[in-house]
Amino acid sequence: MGVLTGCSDRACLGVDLPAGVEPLVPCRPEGLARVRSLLEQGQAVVVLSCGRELAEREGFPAGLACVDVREIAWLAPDEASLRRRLDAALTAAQRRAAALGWHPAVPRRFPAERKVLVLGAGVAGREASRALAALGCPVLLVEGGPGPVTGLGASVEVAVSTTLAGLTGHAGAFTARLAGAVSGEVSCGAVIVATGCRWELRSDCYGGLCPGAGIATVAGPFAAADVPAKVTFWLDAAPGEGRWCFEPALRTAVSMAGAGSSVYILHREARVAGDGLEALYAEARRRGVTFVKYDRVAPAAGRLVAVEAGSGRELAAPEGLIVLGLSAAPAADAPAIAGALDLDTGPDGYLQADSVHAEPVLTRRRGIYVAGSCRGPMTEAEAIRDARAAAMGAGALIAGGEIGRTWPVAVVDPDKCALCLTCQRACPHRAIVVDSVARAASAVPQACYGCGVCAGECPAKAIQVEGYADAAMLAEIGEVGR
Amino acid sequence: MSELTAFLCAGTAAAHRRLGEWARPLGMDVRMVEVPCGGKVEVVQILRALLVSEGVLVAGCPADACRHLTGNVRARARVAYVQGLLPQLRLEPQRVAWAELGPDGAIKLERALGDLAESLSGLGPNRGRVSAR
Repeated sequence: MGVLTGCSDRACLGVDLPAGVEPLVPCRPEGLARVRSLLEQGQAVVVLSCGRELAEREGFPAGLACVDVREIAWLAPDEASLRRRLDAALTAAQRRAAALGWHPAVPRRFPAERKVLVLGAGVAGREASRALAALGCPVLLVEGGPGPVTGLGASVEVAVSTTLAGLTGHAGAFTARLAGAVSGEVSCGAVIVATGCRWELRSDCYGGLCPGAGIATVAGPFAAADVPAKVTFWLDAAPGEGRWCFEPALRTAVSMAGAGSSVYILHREARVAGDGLEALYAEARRRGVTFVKYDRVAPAAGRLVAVEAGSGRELAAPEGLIVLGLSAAPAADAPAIAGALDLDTGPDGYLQADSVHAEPVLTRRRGIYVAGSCRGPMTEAEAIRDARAAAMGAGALIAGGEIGRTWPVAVVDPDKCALCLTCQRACPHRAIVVDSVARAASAVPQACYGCGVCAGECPAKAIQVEGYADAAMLAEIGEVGR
Repeated sequence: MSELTAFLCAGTAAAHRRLGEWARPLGMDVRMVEVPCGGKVEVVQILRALLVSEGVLVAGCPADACRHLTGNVRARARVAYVQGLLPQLRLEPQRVAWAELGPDGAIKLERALGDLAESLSGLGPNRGRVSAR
């Protein structure tokens, strides 16, 4: 049995506390001091309040269990159900708190390098650098191409013709090894990968057409002066095309149609599944752009025509300036970047955020973010949104010069560790390091997500997760032999 | 009323619980044990739960959707391992089940618990059980 305490702020909690609960307000200093002193006396403490933040703030001490009474109160359909659920939650919390397991204290705060390494000076990389500079983080922008990269302000340092050769360390304390025009090691607290993807013209799918007189691609520049009388955007003939081709084609078509061109867009599918694309499509229609949906391309009398599948009817032939769609493909160096950062590539070869449950720009390693087309082709607007999200993530993590931990972490008992490295292989977040002096593995708190995959795999039972120690879990599952 | 133990991964199952599907009475006594990830559920914990309840459900994320990449795969493998182990202990393998919860997890969790309770009702009491809750 633990000491039952609970928030006495009834208005906030929304429910009367059960009998025998010591009233205190855990979010006030006196209440917090009382909880701490009980814990120091070796008491198990159950706090009935409005969330689990207390456990997070206090670093998941053994013997502390929090019950979110407010949530239970809000969700219960009736009084009887509320009491039943409150009782169940309380019993579980008491069991958990009473199981004072092995649980050394792990620090909450860690110093962090404020510099952020941004890879790639494309749309996403430049936007991320700008956003980070605005957040007060110094940036090293590394670009593989010759540049120049300008206009990013004084706090963005640029290294062109340089690539990342390797990365060691963890969030807040990475060491990047650079190669090329700028070489050597750089300390950084976070990494944003914005290396983009490869755009290529699949001439084989477009009847052998190549950029030249009268032939351009959707990425090509169109000067206002040479707006042609007739222009045909020919899209979707090659694999790897999508809304990232449709969007620039639409945008250009709208401006050309506005300047007096007669514009045709030959497409297989109108790709309007993106912010503002439907409106852009409607605008194009309004300005007189002709959309032709075709099924395949066939040669006819020395020229190419778009054909309807069933009937074989000729729908249209590209005329005037012909603008071809570009296929997106993973950058050639994607595997090398993934290898240097110890990330995975997805089934289609892009550097992808590994999980549909994580936010899109997060990777499996804390402090490393992916933004823009390197994680899958996207439009410029989407890449900019990605870059800002990644910059905010990195900024929130390290801009203060330290990492404040709000997550539980795995703790390895060095006496039990047999150095089998099972945890290191199992860890999805690359948080396990091996101390060759202590001859034991340990989880780096800054990198650990507290998932407990290592604890589940450890054959020596040497790993415990804060708040989920074996003893606490067994107590919650139920007492045996009563 | 069948007494069940359900291990819920924090990624999906517990989130669904917070969404309030337990506002509906389940008609069974289920002890929810929240774990940070399915990969944290160990064989010994599943067996321990069988000592105190009639059946065990381990609920986690669908394939390729684990925030910790392989936690769901590990949990599923451990459930399969325990299912293989139970006949040697003269217990029915149907006492342990795995459930994948997606975005419609609230319904799926309820259904999985219902299915487990139904298959248990045909088995009679758990002979491996040593104590009441």
